[in-house]
Amino acid sequence: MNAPALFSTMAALLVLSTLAQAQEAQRFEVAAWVDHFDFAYIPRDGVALFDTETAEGNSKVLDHVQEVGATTILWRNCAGSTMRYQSKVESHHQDAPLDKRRVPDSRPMWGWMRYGEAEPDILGSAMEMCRERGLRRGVHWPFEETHWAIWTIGEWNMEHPQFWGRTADGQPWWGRVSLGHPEAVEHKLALVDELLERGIETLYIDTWRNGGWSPAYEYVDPVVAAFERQYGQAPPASPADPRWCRHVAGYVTDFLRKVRARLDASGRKIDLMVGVQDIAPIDEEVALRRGIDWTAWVDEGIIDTLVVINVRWDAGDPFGSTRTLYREVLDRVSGRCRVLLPVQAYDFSHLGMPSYQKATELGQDEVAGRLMRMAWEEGADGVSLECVDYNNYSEATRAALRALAEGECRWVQAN
Amino acid sequence: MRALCDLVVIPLCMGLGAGLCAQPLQLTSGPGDHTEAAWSPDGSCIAFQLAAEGDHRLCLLDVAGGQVTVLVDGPGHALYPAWSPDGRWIVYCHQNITTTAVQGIENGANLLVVSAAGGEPRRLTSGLCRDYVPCFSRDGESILFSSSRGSKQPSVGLYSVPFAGGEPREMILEDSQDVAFVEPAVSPDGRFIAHGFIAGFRSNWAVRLARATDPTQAFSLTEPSSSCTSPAWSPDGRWIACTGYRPGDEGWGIYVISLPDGGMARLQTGPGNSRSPAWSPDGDSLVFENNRSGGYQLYSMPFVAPTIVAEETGAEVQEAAGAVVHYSFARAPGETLEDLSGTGNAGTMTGEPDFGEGAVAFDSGGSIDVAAPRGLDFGTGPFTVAAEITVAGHTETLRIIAVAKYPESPLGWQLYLNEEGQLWFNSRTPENLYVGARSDFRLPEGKRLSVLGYRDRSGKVSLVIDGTLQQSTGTGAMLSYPDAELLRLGRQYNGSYVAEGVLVHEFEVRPGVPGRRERISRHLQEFLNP
Repeated sequence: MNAPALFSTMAALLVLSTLAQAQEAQRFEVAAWVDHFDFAYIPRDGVALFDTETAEGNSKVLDHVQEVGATTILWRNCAGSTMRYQSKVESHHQDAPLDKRRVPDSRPMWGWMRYGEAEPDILGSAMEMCRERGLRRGVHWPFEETHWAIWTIGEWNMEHPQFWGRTADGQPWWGRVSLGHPEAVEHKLALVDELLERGIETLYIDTWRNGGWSPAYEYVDPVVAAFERQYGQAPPASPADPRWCRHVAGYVTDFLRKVRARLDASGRKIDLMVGVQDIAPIDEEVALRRGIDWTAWVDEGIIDTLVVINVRWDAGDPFGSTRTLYREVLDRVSGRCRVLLPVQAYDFSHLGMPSYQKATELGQDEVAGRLMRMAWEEGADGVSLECVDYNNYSEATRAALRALAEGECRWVQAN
Repeated sequence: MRALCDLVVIPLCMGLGAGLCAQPLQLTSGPGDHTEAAWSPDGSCIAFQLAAEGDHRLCLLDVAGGQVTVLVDGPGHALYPAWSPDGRWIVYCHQNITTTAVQGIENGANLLVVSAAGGEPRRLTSGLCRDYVPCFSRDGESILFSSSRGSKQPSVGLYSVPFAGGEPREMILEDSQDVAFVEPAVSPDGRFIAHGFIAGFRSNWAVRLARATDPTQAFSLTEPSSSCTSPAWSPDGRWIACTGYRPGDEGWGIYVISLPDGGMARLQTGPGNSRSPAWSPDGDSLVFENNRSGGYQLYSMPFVAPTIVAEETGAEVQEAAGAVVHYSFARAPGETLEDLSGTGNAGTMTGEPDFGEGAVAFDSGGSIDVAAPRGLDFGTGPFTVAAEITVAGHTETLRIIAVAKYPESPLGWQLYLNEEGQLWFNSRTPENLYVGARSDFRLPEGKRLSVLGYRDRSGKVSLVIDGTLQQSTGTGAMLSYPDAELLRLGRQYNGSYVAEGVLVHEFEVRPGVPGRRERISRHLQEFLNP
């Protein structure tokens, strides 16, 4: 090969390489939420399929999850305020009865998991496995997900009653600490540091599973005092009062600013994802009643990715109304952050795939395919799969999603 | 048993137990958390647990000399030591799990007994469950403990097992999500068990008294607005010390509850969290754990009975005020019903309410009315409606026991039974919206109950039944009450919702709200001395 030909070839390779990189940067993301705890007791012939206290067992969990064509793993790090790795600043779900204030999880298998003592560290090894497999590695951090059991309430909460949330009638509740207390925020940030130490590329905060950001529990002294300073009167007794909700939402937004700063201070590029559920037409401010002002996060550039957990679609026109809401979110975001739209297996709000199936009489694989394709067509940056537990997405659905992820929907639609 | 070398022991002051130390005295210092102190019956020794190197070991602190020795070492967790009455044995909880759950676990956390002089522990319970926070019965023949054995839900019951060995026996278990009976402590006379209790993860821990012969019969000593655990009886049975928190506290503290009146006070234990109190055998001192220095260390302080004056906080400050309506149905009235309050709110009979057996019944559709009653013009202030009632039988209809009608608010406040047989008390918002508090349970039939509904000065609406504050409350009830148009007992102001199957023995309305001690004192005394 002569010199000009060699030059031409190299130039062409360079262009192709650049193009490939550009395309790689726009890979349509398939973000799989993984709660390995939900794989902990899948019996087959009397034997559990996954030993989630070992790296080998969690490797098998990832094998299963990857069948959906996942590009990103959002690995659950906690149950409420109890951690599922070797945390130095929080307790672990198996700590009962080491802490007599906790009511133990009595279930035969789940109640005896010791993720806080497992070697190697569960979270660190999961992140490393993701790296080895070329998966974007993230943590799903639904902190204070205390909406279902005392064993999910962490030691830090138990040790700091003075920071507990409080209702309008003055009743304290140990299931949450208020972000109105700087000490509580610092504690959460210390947990962020622990997650960073384990090699995450993405921190995904789920604002649905927190049991706590409800304005109903924010009648704590500093939040009340700030309201009184601003409005010259005591807060309304109704936690649904719009002024009160907006006031409380300010603390959540401020917390996310601090998380953003903490991630940036790591010196690495760490994506901050935040999930918002039950998105309705934006002017209805449904999210705000939970203390969530997601449009402010987008406007201010605090978050890298908005995860839409679900939208309030209309059973009379399931896919049409879904598309309308998808467009509204994407228009509102207008490219200022990435947006992942839902292909949700869970149905706790009757807005997930089981409800679509009921409304349309389509199979799960068909619904999943339509939702994923719709997200791609509308120009979303990817989809969010909540949650890829064992067979939550059926074999046919996993195949359908993977085919789309590696085929038609491989790249984000150019606007 | 070996001496513990890595623990710095601070010599005890001569005054320990003699009431001479005004401030808490630090008993231990060194690495790890030192917690769950238990004083030996002869007062010579304090057992405690020490968290070190990922395990928990049991240690003994010699009170006179200050030496610490290890009684039970790792591996694993040795927790919650409790002495036998003769001081020869210590029962504790032990957990040492070395495999994954999938690989199989034989035993969970179970009870072991070890000689206080050291030696090989003896296993008392076994199985994949959590047996913990044990205590000896007063005769030393059996051990009471909390356990998840028998639970399908995340719940914890109370059990007992013979000291000599044998099968554990269930004492009480409510196998519902997050219902737990923990840390039993037997009263000095053996008649009662104090224990921590919670029912649902939205609740706070409470300290309850239960009858030893029937733990289902219980009385809550603390209320939902506080979180209290770890009860410990004083040797004379006049006090219960516990770990507690109330809004406004800086953290956990040591509270004492006086018996039989139920007065409650927080002891001054200095900065940091103070938890898990234990009495000296002579009752002169308390030992507890405190984290002012970082980790938890043991401290002691002399116990000086506090003067409990005004323990209530915030809007629930007791406001002494006389009744403005008071009816007693102990005797059948004449043509009118005398108002014992002296306010002049004599009741008139509409229809034919039935009098008899010390009560009035309204099954016939009659009622007791007071037109333009005096003294019910509470403005935005607090007020209380109290009654002694018996539900003779439940119906499936709404039943109004009492209602006060105001010009702009015909349902101004009400005391009533709903279709499910739960009792409600309601007030209203300035916009005249309903705000109510509901009983935790369907009222039992045939049992005379003392009920008390009130609105405090913050607009919170609460309901108390037989001295127990109910979980459900309402807020925002700041309606300004003018002069009332009508007070009626037995049915709605318009004649509907007749209180069928309800007997009313006493009825009273007064401005102000009762303090906690006033609410519980009489009922606690009745519980203690039926």
